[in-house]
Amino acid sequence: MSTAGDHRLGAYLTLAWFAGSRRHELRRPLLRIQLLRQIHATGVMALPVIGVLALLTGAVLATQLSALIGADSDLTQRMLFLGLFFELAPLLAALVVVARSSAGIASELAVMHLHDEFTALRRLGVPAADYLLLPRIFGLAIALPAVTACFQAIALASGWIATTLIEGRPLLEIAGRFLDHADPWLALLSLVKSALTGAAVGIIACHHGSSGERSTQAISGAAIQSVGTGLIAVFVIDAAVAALVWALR
Amino acid sequence: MNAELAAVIEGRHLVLRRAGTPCLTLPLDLGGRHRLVVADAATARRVVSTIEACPGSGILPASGGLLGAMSVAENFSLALRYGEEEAVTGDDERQLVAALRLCGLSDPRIAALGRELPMKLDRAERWTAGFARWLVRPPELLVIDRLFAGLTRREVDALIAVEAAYHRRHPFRPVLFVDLDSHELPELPECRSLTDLAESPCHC
Repeated sequence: MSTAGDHRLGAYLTLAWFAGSRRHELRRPLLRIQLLRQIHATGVMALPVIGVLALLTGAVLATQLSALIGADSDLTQRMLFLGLFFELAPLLAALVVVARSSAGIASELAVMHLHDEFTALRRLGVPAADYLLLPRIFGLAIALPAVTACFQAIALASGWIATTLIEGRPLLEIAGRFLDHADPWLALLSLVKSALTGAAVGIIACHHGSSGERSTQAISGAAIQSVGTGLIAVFVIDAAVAALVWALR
Repeated sequence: MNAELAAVIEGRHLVLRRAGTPCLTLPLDLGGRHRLVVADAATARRVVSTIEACPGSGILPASGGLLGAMSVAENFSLALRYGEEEAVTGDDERQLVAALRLCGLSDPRIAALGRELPMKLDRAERWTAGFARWLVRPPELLVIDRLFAGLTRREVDALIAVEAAYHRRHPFRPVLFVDLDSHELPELPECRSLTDLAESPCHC
């Protein structure tokens, strides 16, 4: 079990090294098109789900905290920033992306593998790994911070509006109190964390999609494994960044 | 049939060796059709992948070798312009249209073909689309991998007629048909050499 785990971790790291060392290939026009497609599929297409989730999460959390602790309390504002903005928004955005894109990427690659399209690409004169893996990995690394930023903005706006409606306070006052407690470096770190998570999810999905057996069962297997391992990666990175923040304080 | 295969370019010839002994010697600048008959699909795959390792060879499988998830036009774009700074140029597009016309496709069909996914084309048309890109950028040796399996006689005649366009356009570029030893293997018109690995394994 640990040997299999070590082997898999080694494969992820190899793929990460490959992606890092070949990133200049994304300057090619045809790879850029693939990158934009991946960003569209992962980011833009996820916005409706993200919007609804953020709207509800922000409103519920802000009203609950206001009711329990009080909208005036510094603790409420700190919890909104650290809990909602820094922790929950990147985490929920990553979960949505894992559920949508990780399974999609892994099964798409597994189908291509089944139909021997990696060989077909090579015969077209195109390095299959560059063309298929780089845009997916970097597409997720770019799209997830953007999705996270949208989640944060929508969740905060809905939280402020909900508090305004329930407590009858001016919106600008509530927003001002929140911004007094917001740390711009942590806001930036939340986006960096999302970028790392996106890259990790992309690497895991690409590995499972492209390295399985060539069979129909392998398609569902790749999707299941990429989602399962992707979820673990999301929480591991989240915990690691939280530990880093705690250690720095 | 599990003897080690190796293909090398010697001068202007491609030499295929099995267990160190040459079993196919193909001139690379005299053009024409050549045929290699093998006993089974596994051997055909090994032969094709061995020849593929030689620089300058191009492989055309029976499926046409296009990616199913992108349109025919995107496949052409990928095959012709990967690594270039610009997208497919007008000149490439004109050459492709000319190649598809040479393959016998009508102008309305050519216009529609670009937007279609290869998976939705019938087998002959898919092969023709894959073939057209080799017409535009011919390799030194074009290997046509098991084209005839499962085709009707009419389809075979039609595809051989399409393939003839390659020899008219590139008279000095040879084409090697790798076929299975089947009782319904069609005749290849003007075939310059026939190597039967299925019949004479002891020579190789």
